Amino acid sequence: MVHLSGEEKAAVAAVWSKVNVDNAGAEALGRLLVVYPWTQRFFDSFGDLSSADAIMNNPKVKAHGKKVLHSFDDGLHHLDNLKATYASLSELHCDKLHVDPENFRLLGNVIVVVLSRNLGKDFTPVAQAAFQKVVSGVATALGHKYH
Amino acid sequence: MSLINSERAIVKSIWDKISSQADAIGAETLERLFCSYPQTKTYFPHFDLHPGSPQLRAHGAKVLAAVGEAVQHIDRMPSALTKLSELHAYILRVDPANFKLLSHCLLVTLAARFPADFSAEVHAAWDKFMSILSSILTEKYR
Repeated sequence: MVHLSGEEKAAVAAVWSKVNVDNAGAEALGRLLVVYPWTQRFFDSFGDLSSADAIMNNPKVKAHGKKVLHSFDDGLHHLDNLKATYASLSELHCDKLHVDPENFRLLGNVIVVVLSRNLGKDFTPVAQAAFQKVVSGVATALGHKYH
Repeated sequence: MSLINSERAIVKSIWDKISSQADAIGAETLERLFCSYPQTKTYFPHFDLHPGSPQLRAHGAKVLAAVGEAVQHIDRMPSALTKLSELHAYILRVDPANFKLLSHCLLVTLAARFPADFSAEVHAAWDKFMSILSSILTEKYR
């Protein structure tokens, strides 16, 4: 459950309305793989990840990044019930994908950097604080069903 | 973990671009830190932490100046940062977890102010550089 003040809710809505979710998703996943190369361990089937350019232009990375951020978008509409929203994705990431939940925290911070880069001044400290709460909540929800 | 030559070059070239705004970047970084991570304010009970406060501006400038020093001596960071390392270990004793938070807020600030320059490669080089800097500042803790 993420508790946002009225000001924070408004900031999240204002920021998100300016985001191209497809592009931001591609950028976020690409940056995760570039900045934290060990995260590439989950993507052996994605083809060429041999350089920053290769990663950022890789069509599978872009497609998957888009998918991930659309799922994040879903969470933004259910901030009072993230655990239920992400229950089956949590099971999937544990049982089938075997993803260490630490990776959700890394990706969350990369998403924040991408939002900042795309929005500039509009990504105010208050907006960032709100999004830090959101990404933290989503990461926790995605780890909730791990066993 | 250490920076390879291309990463050093990236860090230096970005520093050259941003250094004229170092003070403002420092202030904004701290503002973001205190806003997103209110627990970090516990290290500054003696400060006025309102955005725009002279103390915040002065301290932000100090922090960024230290980052600049590290960039100038990027080939020998551990020896260049000995005094700062001792300061953090024996006097300031900022919990090591906080260095990641500050580093993240600096990157968010750089991304906001220099979107065209802050490519994935630049992001990677600066994240790594700040991580190394943080390790050096905490290496004498125990």
